[in-house]
Amino acid sequence: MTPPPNNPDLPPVNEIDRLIHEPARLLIMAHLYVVEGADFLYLMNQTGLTFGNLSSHMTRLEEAGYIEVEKTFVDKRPNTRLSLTDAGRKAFDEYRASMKGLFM
Amino acid sequence: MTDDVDLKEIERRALTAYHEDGLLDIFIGGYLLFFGLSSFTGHIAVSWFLPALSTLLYSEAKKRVTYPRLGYVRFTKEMRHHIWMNTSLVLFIAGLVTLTGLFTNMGVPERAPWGTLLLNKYNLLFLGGVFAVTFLMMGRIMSISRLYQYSVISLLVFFAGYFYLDSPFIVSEQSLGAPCAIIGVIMVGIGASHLRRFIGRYPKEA
Repeated sequence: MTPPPNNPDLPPVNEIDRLIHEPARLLIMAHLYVVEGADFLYLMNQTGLTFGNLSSHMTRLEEAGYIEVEKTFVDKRPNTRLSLTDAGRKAFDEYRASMKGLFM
Repeated sequence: MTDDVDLKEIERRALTAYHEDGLLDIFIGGYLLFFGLSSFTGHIAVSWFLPALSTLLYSEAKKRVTYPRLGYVRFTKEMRHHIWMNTSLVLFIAGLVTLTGLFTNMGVPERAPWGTLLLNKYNLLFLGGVFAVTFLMMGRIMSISRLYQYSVISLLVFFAGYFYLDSPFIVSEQSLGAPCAIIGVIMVGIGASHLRRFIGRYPKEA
């Protein structure tokens, strides 16, 4: 449902960040928002997403510059650590504000 | 959709998941058990140095048990600071109050102030209250609801101890030691059961 074009009281739905709005990515962003950083396994457990699903969404968010992905080794095993970038944090704040505006 | 993004709830769940492994219970319980038993062997001074060693062992156990299964998470500076400051404060006050309670149990003159006499008479009940409030506050600070049950257990054990142990034939350290050892055993048992469930729920990746 799109707002009538001449109604200035309604917030513009088109301005909502669709990249974040997708449920799986919203979940990833929200989990990373409340912590300083987490690894891939932690996010998989907390969000309930599968390896492939999380991996593809992680790539999308990384390409957008919303998250930073760091690949390291822990006890000789590969470990992928993720954290929100400043741009990602700002985008998430804006997303929350615009969603609040829509429903208030 | 905004209802789905309850950040406080996500933060709380992150903390709860981090402590789902039961290691905290095992280490606190283990310490209480050691403290309790050492009060009977007369080596109670050793247990005052144990917290530092326990902290090192706890962080090593987290690295070996929790991170490979649940994954690694680094909480925000604010949250770490909040937990560290509040827990330290609670433990410091609890330690101070417990020491006061112990001193008053070591024998007071007959003309001591009524407050001291009261503390002396109901010493174990007082210490049970301290334990209960400490667990209650730690549970609240760390968002671990099972610490509340230790609060109730502490009250019950110390209450029972008041009737069965607080006799003139038992020296003060031992009258504190027995309830501590009992609470320790219960905590280690519950912690081990949580650990078993945690390992089953989060198998280690091949």
